[in-house]
Amino acid sequence: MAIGDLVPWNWNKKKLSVAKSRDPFIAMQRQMNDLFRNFLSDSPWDVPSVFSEDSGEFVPKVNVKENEKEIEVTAELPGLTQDQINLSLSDDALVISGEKQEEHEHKDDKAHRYIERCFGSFQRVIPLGAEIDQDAIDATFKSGVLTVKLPKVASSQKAKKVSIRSV
Amino acid sequence: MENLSGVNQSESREAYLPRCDIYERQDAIVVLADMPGVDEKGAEVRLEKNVLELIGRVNKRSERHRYERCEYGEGDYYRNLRLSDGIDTERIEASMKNGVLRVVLPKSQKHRPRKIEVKSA
Repeated sequence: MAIGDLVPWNWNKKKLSVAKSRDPFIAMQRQMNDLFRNFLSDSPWDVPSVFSEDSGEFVPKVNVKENEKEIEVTAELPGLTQDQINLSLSDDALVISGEKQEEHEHKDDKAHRYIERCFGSFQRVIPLGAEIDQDAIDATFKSGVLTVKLPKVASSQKAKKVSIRSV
Repeated sequence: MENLSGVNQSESREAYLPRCDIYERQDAIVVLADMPGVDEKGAEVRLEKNVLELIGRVNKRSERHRYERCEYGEGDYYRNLRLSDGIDTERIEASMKNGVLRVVLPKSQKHRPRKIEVKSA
């Protein structure tokens, strides 16, 4: 039995894009696949990633802050330009999506590179707990950080009194 | 100085470890470091004895809000990389765009691949 028989069947194929899964078993399977690939690779550039939660997909991190007047959503999107980011608002959620391109000038240097940064298409859906004044939304993008300020509708700021009827 | 959880401590100040891509071209090595929130004024590149230090400083904003969801922390970035001898340190260039620090490390002349002409003797 050759050592090649022990290798997972798809170890040297390009990574399939799958939905991001928080299932710990799927994450562990990915790490095992990466371990096999790194162990059996000839290239000194295939080093296990320092970042343990790596899955190769680009999932930008998002912070959500809220006070009485507004909700503020910030997202880390380094290396993207403004026109590569799409923002849309549905009734109860803010959707941030787009695609981060691989660096063009380095696309052909596959044998001589070490990659930690991720690229690809992404989408984050952020549920909003309050009604938003859609006309007053302010979104800015600076130094790779997207900041979206969503002012709440004035009437939703007051707590409504609920009366109890006797039965 | 670096630990593997993504945060390192240097000079008794905590900093985040930026994700880096390292490419090798024929004439240079290129390092790209993700430092969202850092502009060119906040970025610093230092070289001392073959150790390249990448530093990014962010302006921390005042906390007027309450976190509903917190996936990343705001803080400075720090990473160091050991360089081999084949780098022409006088010609290192660094630039900052959209939160990505790009450092180009040209290879010194004698370390570039050269084609040697074969003459008939």
